[in-house]
Amino acid sequence: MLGKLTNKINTAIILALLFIPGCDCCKEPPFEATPYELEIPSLFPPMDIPADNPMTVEGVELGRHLFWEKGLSLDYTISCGSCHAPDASFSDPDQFSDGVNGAIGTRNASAIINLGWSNTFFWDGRALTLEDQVRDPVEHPLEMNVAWEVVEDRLQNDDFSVDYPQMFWDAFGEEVITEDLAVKAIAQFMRTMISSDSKFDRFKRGETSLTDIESMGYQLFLREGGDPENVPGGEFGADCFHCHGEAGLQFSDYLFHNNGLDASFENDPGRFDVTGWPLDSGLFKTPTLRNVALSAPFMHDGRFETLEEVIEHYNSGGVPSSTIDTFMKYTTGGLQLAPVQKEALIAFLHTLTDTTFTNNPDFQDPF
Amino acid sequence: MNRISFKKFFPICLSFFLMVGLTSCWKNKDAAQIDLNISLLWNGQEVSITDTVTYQGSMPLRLEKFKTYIDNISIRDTDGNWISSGSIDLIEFMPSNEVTVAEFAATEMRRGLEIDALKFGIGVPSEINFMDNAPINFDNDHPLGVIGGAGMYWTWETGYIFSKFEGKIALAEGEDFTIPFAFHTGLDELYREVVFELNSSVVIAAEEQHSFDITLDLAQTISSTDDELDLINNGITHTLNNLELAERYVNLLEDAWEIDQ
Repeated sequence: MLGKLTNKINTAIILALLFIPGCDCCKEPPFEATPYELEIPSLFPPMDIPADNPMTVEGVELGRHLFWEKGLSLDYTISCGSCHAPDASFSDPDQFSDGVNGAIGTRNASAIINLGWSNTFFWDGRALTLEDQVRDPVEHPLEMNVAWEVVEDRLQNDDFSVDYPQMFWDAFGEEVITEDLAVKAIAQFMRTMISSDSKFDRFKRGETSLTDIESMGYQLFLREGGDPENVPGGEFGADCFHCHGEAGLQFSDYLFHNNGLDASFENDPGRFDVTGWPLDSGLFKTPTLRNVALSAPFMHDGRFETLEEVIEHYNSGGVPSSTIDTFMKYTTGGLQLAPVQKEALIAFLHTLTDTTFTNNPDFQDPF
Repeated sequence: MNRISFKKFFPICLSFFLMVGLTSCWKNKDAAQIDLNISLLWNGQEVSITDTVTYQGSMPLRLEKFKTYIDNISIRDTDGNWISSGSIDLIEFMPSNEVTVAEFAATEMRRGLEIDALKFGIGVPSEINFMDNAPINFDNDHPLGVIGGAGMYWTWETGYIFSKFEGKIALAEGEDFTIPFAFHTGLDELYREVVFELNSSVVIAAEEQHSFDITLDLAQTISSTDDELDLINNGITHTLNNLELAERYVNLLEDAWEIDQ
């Protein structure tokens, strides 16, 4: 009797073992991320999304958490968002950013705004993809200063307020957290950081009009600089369009220029450090003017605290040097803008302010 | 029923895919490629952007930038018919030579086409130039797109910048380069065509690649027997702010190219 029972139990166990692998109840749920529908604003160019990093809802959400995750720094004190503050259009209101262990950076942290359309990153353009840009600050000794291997291990094994292994699985269908996946997620998030609702955007869409002084500033923005008596073709304009053109409403030509800040470049050779090309000495990437009224201080080294100082710099013509841009009026007396023209120019620059972007709840610290 | 249908339609499907595949192959076989290897000269001597040359006999002139759109490379058969490639490229000598490529997929290529002339435009065709917000209609990295054509679009007046030539001059050897010059040209009226009559005809055939060596003598873009620009006193134009100078410059630019054949 007992033998028969044992046989039945054995049979049941064997059958159970046979069926368990085929049972769906214990399987990992199939990976299925939700495609993120990125809305390209009207009058904007198409955005190139890397084929190996398609955007998903889960990836963007993971990226947002990682962007604000202080565990990406050596001592858990700073996140990407620490130096890219929303109120400052995701730039650093300090001249130089505080890194871990009291380290101080050497350049002003750029605004994170519409970077999905850029093809070079950092002031010197040393990163060619958003993913590579994201990779850099984590290990930079003056910034977060932690090895990616350590970050991978933390995200995989440490207790955080969110379940990162689950979030990585949801975003990428991978159980092992890697640097590559982390930077992809942050890059996905940053591609969603689109500003397209400034007064100027609405003006271009025909939804509003500029005031007289804003309109005057816009015309100055578009006009050639200099006194025509001294500068062939001068139109007493502000000359901004050469580098901050409105093609695709980007307000940057994405190129590198020496805008006449210094006579020599020992302190920071800029683009030269990347290309080794002498004519690139002292050249820095043109930043977008979107939200420029929120993203002080200005220039690669944050030397100017106000827009008035910036305009005064261009008005002066800048400091001559071996690589100064052809369009700086350094030999012909500067732009010679009248006070009212400077005021108008600043009024126009304020039309590029987009607080729906800076206040967008999707970009804020989730912790 | 389903099985019968599949069996019935399988050969048709197979034929369809084979046809698509073969058509693709034939299309590729039709194509002939022409490469223009373009190098820069200054008074007949090969130069690179960043080189310093001599202006008006004694003044150092530093070449800092030369960019131009090369539009619609076309070839002419010996019957006088022009065949267009529809190509457009933005060449930028950073710092040295450039190659621009055109593909010709005309059916004549299959048996070989004898050509006796070659031409291209300097600029952007009118129908694109005045398209509303033109760059956003192209992929970002396209030469006419926001990134591919970075710094080459004026939104408010003439559309695209067709070409840029920039540099600086020092008044004497050893002095600083204090005098900038810049020619930024645009506007339909300033679109120019460069036509090369070949010394001897060339047969271009399908699946073949032909290279032509082209030179652009930058010295001739500011001085020739017909005209001479004064870079010291009148050397900056963005076209509309100094149209007369822009026109003189593009006329010189048109004549500054040569083909080495």
